[in-house]
Amino acid sequence: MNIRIVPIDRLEAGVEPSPAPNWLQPHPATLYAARAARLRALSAHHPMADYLGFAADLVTAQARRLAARPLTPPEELAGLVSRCAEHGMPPLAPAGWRGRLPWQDDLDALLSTIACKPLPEALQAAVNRLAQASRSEREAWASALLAGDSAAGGVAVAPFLWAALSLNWSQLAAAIDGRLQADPGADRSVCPVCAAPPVASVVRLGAEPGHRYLHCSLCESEWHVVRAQCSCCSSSRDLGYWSLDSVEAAVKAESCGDCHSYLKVLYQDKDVAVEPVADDLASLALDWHVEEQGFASSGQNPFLFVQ
Amino acid sequence: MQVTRRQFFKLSAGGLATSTLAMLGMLPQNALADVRSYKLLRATETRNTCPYCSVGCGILMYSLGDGAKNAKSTIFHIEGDPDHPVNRGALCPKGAGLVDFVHSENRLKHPEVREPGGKEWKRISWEEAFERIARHMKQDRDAHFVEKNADGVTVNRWLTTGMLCASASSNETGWLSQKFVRSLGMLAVDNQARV
Repeated sequence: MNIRIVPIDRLEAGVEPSPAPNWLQPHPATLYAARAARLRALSAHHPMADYLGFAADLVTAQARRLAARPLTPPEELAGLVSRCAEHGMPPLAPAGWRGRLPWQDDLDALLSTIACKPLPEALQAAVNRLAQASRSEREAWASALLAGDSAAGGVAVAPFLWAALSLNWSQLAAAIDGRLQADPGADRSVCPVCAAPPVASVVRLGAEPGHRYLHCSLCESEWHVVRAQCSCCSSSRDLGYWSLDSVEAAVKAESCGDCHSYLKVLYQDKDVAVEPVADDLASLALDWHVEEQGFASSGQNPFLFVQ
Repeated sequence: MQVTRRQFFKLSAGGLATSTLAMLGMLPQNALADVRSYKLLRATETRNTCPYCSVGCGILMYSLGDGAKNAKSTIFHIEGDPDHPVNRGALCPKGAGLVDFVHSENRLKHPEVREPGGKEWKRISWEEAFERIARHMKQDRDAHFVEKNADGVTVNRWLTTGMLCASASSNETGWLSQKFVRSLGMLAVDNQARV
């Protein structure tokens, strides 16, 4: 009962393609520009306008770095994907890639782009701290962060670390030549490509109308999870779909009465411009209300780490 | 329930004060000032099967209300279930109009009878309805039950009454219908409402 990325040349013959693809690979070339644009659009008249603006700047820096110095996928990628397929493991799980990716160079590039314009004191302090830290120190912080511990380096530097790491992981995910195959009942709660938690889920239009995909916080992949089912514990007994002011809202929180967690769902048919990271970050008011009902977030936004 | 590697976070209740937002000095005083002005609504998504025909399309029904005792739940939207292998999210015009069927003023909600020769439909109780149906069935069966055919072979059949069952039935319901109908000797049974 596992879920795995299978290389194209090893797909079993005769297997019916599923009506909707299980895995939507990231397109880094368009992803960051779209995210930055959405963040800027949402920041207008928003109480968190400054922060959404900063997030847009950092995403724009990611887009620039991608254009200037794209990642050359390591030669071992295909072999690793193939081995992981045999054993039902996520090929981009961070543990297998420690020290192999040039994310520290990307981090330096992101920091110098961000520091181009004058920054508020606390933000400047975080940039300085990262710029002055040794490579081994940054490596240790990144390892801890990827393992779910944001306290090691501090939550202030986490978005920068994550932005540099994510830039590498999204390009790796885009370079895989494979399909996602899953046995019935396989666990879909974390990303099948890199094992990171999702940011939010999206009910899509286009080639997959009405299908719900979870969006990975690290490698930007999207994987299919059926609707009307808790994305964390798979229960469908007591789900709530919470929204502010209108049941037709494009952003809702899907809560589960069994594991007491929630994850936001974005509906493209209500607003075609929704973007997982931007819309999740800009809807903190919904988090506040849903937490008051006794639920805790099971997602990870790359711009919001808590200790 | 599966154990996952997803951590649970409290973002707003105290969490924000030690979050990235606060540590970067960008948590505005009024970040959550206006939250109370929003009204929080809860909807539910429920899977079901369309009741119209034997194709058995999967549907998602959206309702308001949390099922609490004093709150009346209302269905406000129905759409095809994209994950259902039969219809993959599509619905025919009848299925697409299901929500109006649910709320229709003309919807039959209790048993009614129109007496032979009468022009008016009259409301009756479920008890009364069951009794009338049973009485009619027994009268007809007593009068027309065929124990042996012309050659004297035992056949035990009842050809003058038939039964039409629901289309969106489970296997178990189908099994029960079959047991009930065949035990009476009835041959005309249709479990596929071609309406």
